[in-house]
Amino acid sequence: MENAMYYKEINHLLVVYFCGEIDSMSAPAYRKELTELLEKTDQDVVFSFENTTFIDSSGIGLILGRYNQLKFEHRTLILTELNRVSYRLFELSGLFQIMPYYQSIEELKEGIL
Amino acid sequence: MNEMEITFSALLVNENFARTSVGAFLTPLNPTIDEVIEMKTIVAEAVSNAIIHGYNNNENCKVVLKMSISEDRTVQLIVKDFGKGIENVEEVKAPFYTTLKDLEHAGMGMTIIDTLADSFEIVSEVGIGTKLIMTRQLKEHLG
Repeated sequence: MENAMYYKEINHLLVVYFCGEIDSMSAPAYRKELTELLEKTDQDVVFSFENTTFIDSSGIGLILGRYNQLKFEHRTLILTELNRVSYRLFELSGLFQIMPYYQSIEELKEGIL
Repeated sequence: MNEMEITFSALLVNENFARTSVGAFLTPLNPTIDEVIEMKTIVAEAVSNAIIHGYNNNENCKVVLKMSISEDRTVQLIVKDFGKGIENVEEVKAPFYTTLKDLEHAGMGMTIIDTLADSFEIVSEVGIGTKLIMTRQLKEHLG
């Protein structure tokens, strides 16, 4: 699977989907692309990892960086659809203590509506 | 005992090569999907540590990856660099420890290895290099 990121708007939220792998090779490009995308909008943001096959600590760094970027503007970053291994690593890194997590986009819609 | 050893340039693009190789070498054991992802994560963290911290991204340097699988399905991974070394090995294992905060490093690499591996040892000498030794026993394959 090619590494790619795409996004769409769902219920006034900017939902970003990551396909493929987030590692130290791909993270810097995502960092640049996301920083610019988030600067252009003022919505709360959702990161979906449904189609993400691999995330390591550079992915966790990328997410923390975007969390800080949004937090500065009082915007929220929501995480969804992690596989078991990634969920465990995110939990270990304390991400769920600062960011809300929903198992699916559907659950997220129900949770916020 | 089944063993392999590969040496590659300290380029981040080779981190994918390293974890794909680990995944492929594990295939005869018929590991679970989670086990494969976990082993790949361990090697990704170890190799990127060698390239970024050991060698400061100097592509003329080489990273060595050794892997062995024993009869009881214990996998040993060794990732070795001949880079700058680590002064305090206990310090780097602590969560959120990073020397490169400005580059958005989470400081979780060694903590992740420590969590996913059954055993994790860091052997390092300043100016000589660093060797990470990790083991993980895979579950018995059923059926």
